[in-house]
Amino acid sequence: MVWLNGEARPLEGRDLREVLEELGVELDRVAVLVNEEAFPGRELPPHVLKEGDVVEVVSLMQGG
Amino acid sequence: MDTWKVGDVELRSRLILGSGKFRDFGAMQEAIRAAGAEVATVSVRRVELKAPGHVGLLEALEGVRLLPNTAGAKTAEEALRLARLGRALTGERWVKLEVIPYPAYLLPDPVETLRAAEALLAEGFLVLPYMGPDLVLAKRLAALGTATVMPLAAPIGSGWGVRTRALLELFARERASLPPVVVDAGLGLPSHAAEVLEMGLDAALVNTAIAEAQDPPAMAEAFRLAVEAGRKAYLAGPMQPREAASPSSPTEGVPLRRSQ
Repeated sequence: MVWLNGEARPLEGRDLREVLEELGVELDRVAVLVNEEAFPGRELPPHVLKEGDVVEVVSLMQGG
Repeated sequence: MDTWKVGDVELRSRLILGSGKFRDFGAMQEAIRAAGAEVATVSVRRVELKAPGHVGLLEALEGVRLLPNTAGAKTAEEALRLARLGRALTGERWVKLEVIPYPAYLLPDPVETLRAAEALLAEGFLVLPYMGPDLVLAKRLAALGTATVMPLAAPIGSGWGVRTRALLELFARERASLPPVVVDAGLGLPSHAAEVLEMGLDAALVNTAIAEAQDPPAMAEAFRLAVEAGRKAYLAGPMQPREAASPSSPTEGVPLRRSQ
């Protein structure tokens, strides 16, 4: 299983960018964490997902 | 020009705005404009993957410099993750460091904050740490090289005002050995912001007091004026309080009494 935004998903073997594009994520507007390494979405390198990967997809929100 | 610096960033406004809690982006934009703020804090949160449509915050905050925070972090490691993501989202290398373990009073964890600051500085961040009004911790953070120290006036969002005044006075006294001191959290009225600027502290960070006002832009303007007034008063050199009254009119020549 791959942990995507805190949920376990069977995505092993898939390319992360393809998965995010399928989900409708606008990569220009997000940052992506892959196992503690953070990338601006548009600079996300090719990454074949493997068992136990932790992926977080985030954007800016209002906050103090 | 009376400016101040956060690392290599020179700022004119001494009022930093938090962007949270506004009822809509329009009120937030107007408040930022009325506050004359050059910097607004933002947080980092998960995208809703079931409906990932963007919310337009970046457009709403155009023209103001974004300061990502680590709100939500309970440990140094969690703060590092949020800081790295904030940098990837904004392209900014500065971060408002918040490490808050318990939700009841939202008080910052001094040990985790110090650990996180050290690690973030090693990664090239400009670190603006939210902290209790603890001068010893402030000096430890300053020795590490943080860009500011940001002691609280009262718990976040409480609006209680400058409850930590006696301890903030020590920050003012030790100002020369500290990076800029930004009072963050608990300011509920413009007079509270004026008070900390009058003390000689460098800036104030305000969110709830403006966002939850009935008229946020008007309150933002009031805070701007108060911060400007407080700073001007500090630079003007306030009088020393006396133990007793001192008449403002001459005591001689009052045309009422006969000379003895």
